[in-house]
Amino acid sequence: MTEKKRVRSYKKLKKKDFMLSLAYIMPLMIVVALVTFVPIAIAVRWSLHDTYYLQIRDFVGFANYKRIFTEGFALQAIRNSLWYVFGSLAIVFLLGVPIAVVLNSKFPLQGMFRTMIIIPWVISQTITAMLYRWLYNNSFGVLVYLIELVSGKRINFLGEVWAARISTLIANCWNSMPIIIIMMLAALQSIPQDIYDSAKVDGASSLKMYTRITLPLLRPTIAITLVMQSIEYFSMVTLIKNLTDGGPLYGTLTLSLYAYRSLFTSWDAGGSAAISVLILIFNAVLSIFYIRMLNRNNEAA
Amino acid sequence: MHNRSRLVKRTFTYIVVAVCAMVALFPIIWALSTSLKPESQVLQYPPKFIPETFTLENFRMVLFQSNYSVYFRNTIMITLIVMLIATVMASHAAYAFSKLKFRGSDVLMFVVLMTTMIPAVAEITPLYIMFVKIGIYDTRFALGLVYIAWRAPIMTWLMKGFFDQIPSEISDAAKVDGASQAQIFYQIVLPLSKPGIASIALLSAVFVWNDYLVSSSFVSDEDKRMLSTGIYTYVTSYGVYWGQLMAAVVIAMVPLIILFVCLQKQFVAGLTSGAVKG
Repeated sequence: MTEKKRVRSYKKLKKKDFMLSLAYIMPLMIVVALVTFVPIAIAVRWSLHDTYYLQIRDFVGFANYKRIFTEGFALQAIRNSLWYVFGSLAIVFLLGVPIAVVLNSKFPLQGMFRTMIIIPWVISQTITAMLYRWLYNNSFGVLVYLIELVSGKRINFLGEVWAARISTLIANCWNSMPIIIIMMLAALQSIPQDIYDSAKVDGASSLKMYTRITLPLLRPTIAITLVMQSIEYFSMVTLIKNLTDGGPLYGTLTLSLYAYRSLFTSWDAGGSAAISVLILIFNAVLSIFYIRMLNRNNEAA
Repeated sequence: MHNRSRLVKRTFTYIVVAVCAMVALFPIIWALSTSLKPESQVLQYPPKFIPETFTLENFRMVLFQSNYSVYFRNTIMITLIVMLIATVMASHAAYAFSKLKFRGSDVLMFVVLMTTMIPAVAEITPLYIMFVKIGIYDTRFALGLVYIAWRAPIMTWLMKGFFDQIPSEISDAAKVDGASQAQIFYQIVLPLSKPGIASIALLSAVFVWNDYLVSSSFVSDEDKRMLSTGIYTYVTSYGVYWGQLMAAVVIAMVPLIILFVCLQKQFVAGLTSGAVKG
């Protein structure tokens, strides 16, 4: 075989590999383009047009965007979303990080407790909503009973605005606390034990070790999980839809639920498309944060 | 002294984990307890924690007297189909992105991965419009398409991670023996990647099983309804029978809890990296 021939046969193989590679990637690319990128284009287009049910009419510029703020609930929905996102984040991190630290220490039955605490994670938002609807039930709910037992007051969990807001937060935190714990446990396992051992020799208390060693070392993971969860909470529909459906008095209507309801309850496709575009923009900003943090962490590691 | 502080610490640890476990499990246990009570005891105030008389009537009603078995069957069927197609699609694409790189393939992988950051709800309205216009609204095909498109990217990314860890010496040796890239993939790399395949398959299955948003948006026919939407209709249609609703909830939740307890490692590996879209 001459040199030239060998090069040619190599090139041929390369081309064959390239075709194979394309064939392996194509199905994925087609599906992703069809179900992810085409809809974004449709959302942008419909948000700029007057719509009547599923008919698209005249181009109206930003009229739909203006309308959801002036005539619709967009502003209130954004406020509700912020409350929901930041409220959930606060509870989940303030409780989740210390719980993970406790779960990370070695004690008998540790594995069993860990499994039990993480179980709510595999429970869907729909089922979470149903479980809590029953716990919160105004006539027969066991939480109503327990609180009446302790405080003598009957709380209408889902019937009053602030009670409903806090009730949705609690249900959400119950469902998503495990993911925080799992992420923190993974990060904690990479902290070498001898740091703690030498701190102990120096006479540091447990609390001091938590604030001076554990928290600073967890910071990158906390930051990433924080952004990840804020994206998750911001775009959440199912739990709130099934628990309160945005009520009472639109007090728990988040921007995401508003997008969903604008289509399936009010049949306002243009308005719903406009809200969808807003959500995409909000989310893009959050995602940029997220990717930056990931990159920074990768560089540090 | 030292021993005493250890004892205090241990006691503290147990109190914390016991309280957490109780909070985590209480809603589930309460649902189980409710589902085993006759309706007269369900609607009782103050509530009793342990049923006075146990009955399977609620489960019988849910499984045999309602459409729930149809929803259950639909969900199992679509879960299996999506799991199969998405896993095949993702593992092939991941192999190409990992071992058959070409100019621009890294950029493509990044673009695909980025789609997982797009919130599902923002795409529901345009997808609904699109499906109605092209005439696949209210079909299982539409459901499967969305499930696959939304899960395959993160599965591909995970699988690429698995393939990246397989040393290229293995495939180089096979190449010297004259094996084609496709042969290397099917006969050498795939068998080595069984744990990875298991965890991405699980990832897609859990997504479909737990989904409400997609199925409630794109399917309205009773015969095609999925579990989560079916549970919701329990609440809205006729006055709520809590005993039956909780039985339905228990039936939907138990398979996943069992799966989780058995396959914890795969769950954690898969779902921590795919936790965003939901």
